[in-house]
Amino acid sequence: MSALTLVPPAQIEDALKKMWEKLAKENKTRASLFNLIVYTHQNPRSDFMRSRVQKIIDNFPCRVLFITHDRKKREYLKTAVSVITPQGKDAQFACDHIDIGVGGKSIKKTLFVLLPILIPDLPTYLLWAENPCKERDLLSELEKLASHLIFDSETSENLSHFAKSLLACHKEKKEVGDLNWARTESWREMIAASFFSSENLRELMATQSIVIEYNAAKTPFFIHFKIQALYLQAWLTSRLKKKKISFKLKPVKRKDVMGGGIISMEFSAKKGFSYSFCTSKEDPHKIIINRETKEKCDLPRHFFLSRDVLGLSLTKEIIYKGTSNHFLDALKTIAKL
Amino acid sequence: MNAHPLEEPGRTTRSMDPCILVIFGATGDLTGRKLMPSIYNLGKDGLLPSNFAVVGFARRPKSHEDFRKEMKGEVSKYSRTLPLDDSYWSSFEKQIFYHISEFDDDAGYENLKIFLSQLDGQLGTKGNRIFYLSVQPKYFTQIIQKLSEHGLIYSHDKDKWSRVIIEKPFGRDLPSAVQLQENIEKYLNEKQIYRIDHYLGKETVQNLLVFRFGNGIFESLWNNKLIDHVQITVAEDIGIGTRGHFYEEEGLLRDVLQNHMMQLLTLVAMEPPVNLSGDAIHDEKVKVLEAMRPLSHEDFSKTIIRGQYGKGFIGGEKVIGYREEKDVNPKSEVETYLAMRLFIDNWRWTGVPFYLRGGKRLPKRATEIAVVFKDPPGILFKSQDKKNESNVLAIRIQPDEGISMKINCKVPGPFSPIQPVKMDFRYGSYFGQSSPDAYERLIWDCILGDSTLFARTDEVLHSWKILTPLLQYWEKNPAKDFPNYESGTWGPKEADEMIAKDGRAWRLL
Repeated sequence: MSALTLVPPAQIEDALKKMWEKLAKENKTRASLFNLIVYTHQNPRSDFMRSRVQKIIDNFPCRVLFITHDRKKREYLKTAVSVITPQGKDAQFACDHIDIGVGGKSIKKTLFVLLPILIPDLPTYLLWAENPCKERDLLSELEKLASHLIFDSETSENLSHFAKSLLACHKEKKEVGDLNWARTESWREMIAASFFSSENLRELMATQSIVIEYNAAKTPFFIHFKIQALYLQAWLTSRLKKKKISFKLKPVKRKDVMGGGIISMEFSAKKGFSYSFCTSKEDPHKIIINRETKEKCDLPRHFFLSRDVLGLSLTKEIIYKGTSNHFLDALKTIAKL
Repeated sequence: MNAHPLEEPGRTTRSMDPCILVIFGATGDLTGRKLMPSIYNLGKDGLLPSNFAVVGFARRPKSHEDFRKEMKGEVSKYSRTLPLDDSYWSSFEKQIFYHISEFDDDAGYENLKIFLSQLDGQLGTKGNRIFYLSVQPKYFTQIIQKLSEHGLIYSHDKDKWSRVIIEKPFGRDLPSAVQLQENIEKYLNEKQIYRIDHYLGKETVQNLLVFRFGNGIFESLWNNKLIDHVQITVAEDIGIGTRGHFYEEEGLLRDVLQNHMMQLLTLVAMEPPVNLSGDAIHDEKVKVLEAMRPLSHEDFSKTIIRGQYGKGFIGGEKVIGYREEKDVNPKSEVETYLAMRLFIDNWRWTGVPFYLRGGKRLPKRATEIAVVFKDPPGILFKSQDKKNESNVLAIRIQPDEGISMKINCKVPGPFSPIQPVKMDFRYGSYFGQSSPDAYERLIWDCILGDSTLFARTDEVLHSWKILTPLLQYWEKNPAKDFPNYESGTWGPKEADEMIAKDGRAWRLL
């Protein structure tokens, strides 16, 4: 990302134009497939959200409108512009990045800053990185602009309340998603693929016990470690519609896996088969799959969680049309907890 | 059929049957340059079945380990994602095997059967097979016959499946294609045959359907009332390289026009399919070919121009002519350039010429479909009786994939001259991620059992039916003026004259 240039709100477009005139010599295309509004409080986690935005840019260009709200400070409103490029490759494109820093009650001005700088005719996605159950004022305004709302359940103390809040949002014809749900995508796809054949599906349906290990190692960005494991539990419960599965969620500590990340899953039944999916100790993106029955033990297989590496799960969650039915069913299951 | 409970239509991408992919001709160029890098990238992107193996089948003696090392070298050179991911490769290579056999050796096939069964037991691949025939066409029938005789192909088994991918060209003309089809359908049904044309795996070609039928504005313009003509160009700046033997047998018509260019033409001209199933799309493509006006003797001599490159310059470097290339007859009459005009006599396209041109050693590499629109009534904005430029919608297939629209615009100032300007959409500029290679998509589709992006029998036969009379004419009337264009130019002057007689010109790409 280029250095931020402070500009008054009314001069954002002009400042960007000047920046691009300079960049034209570098043969970079100014690209944007959608407007991405990000809202976060000013705290250590806002840097983490910036890194998520970078992941999105690495996959799809968009105009980023990054709002940082410092609730402790007195009123202020600062706007700055810069250009953000995909990391790690010689990309042909770059994107507008508009930073809106607000303090105290100036948050009320945010909407007026945003409205003139949204690119018309493009979809607008909102990444709301704070608890939607607590802060409604700005959210209710931004919801009207956005075609898809992505929340971060990490900010919620109670996942059941969070689920109810999202279901209510969806009831009002809003499309919703959650970062933690997106993070489980590779695991869900791997499980779906592993139990794809009718024979394996029969075994899955006969499963009586599922143990999910998740990473509870402390990080600056995560404290609610159990959420992804709960999502997988809710997903399997709602998909299999089977009441007699006992779930056990076990915290373990791994420094090389993101906080709350899934470490392993084990499916077993009294009939004598078991499936285990374990994160390799050498490479956290490599999953070793073992299947055993009373009679035989298959050779271990490997699966790579490449989508997490690429940040594609997140971008897919954002750009998919509509809300995932599996996600809604999982939310309904969690809301009942 | 009930959906799998863990699958979400439109979102889940991973659920596919376990299988083994056997590549015949595993020591050939295509395997190292395209197939193995594609399989590697599919795996790396999590798009292979979790129970999967790839087996190279070839004549040269080699161990599994040798083959893995060789393939690692090739993937390190040709993968679209580099550098090689060693962590992934170390797992992936355990799924790569090699099997030595001649194509006609019964014992070799019997051993293959035993070997694949062992792999089924070890890897849980459930007996599902894809046989990729990356071999010369003369071996197609023999390999398929042997596979069938040794129980490696099964048509009606409910619990497992076998599919065969066949590389182009499918036949040399209509009689040979019919013969080949008759030979292979003794052992395979149509649903098992995947005739690959890698152009159909390209993102921009797939986008043609989205572009035409996913946008409201274009379809209403897509007819003879508003379109003046269509140009399809497949230009290569390279020569035939090491493919002298192949080219002497096939020529440009069989190599490029009968398959790639005819596929592009049908996608541009087809009616909207009733749905997006493979059969519905194939049906519409076949209708285009059925409506194509048969080529006449007048066409052979007047609106079809063949050419062969002589020496010249490419990129400022001197290059040799076709007849000086390795493995080429110094008096060869094989065409390396072809331009032709075709008509589709149906409700939508009557009177709209489709100009096709393809060639080797042209000034640049460019594949493009250009839809040139009719001019508005020339009452306004005339300048000294000169007409303004026509609107052109150009769909660039490669390189620099994208779509552009040429429109006329007023130049700022009091004098109002009209200037053509271009609105340009580039894939690379908008979608930063590198597009999957065409082979990745096609292998993935075959694993899923989706034949939409493969050519169906009737498509191939109809295409040959249109072009075979021309091949027969050429056989009786060899070219007398070869070589007739310099390397590094846009082809023989007769091609320019042909289109100029219609009051049009080739686009300068």
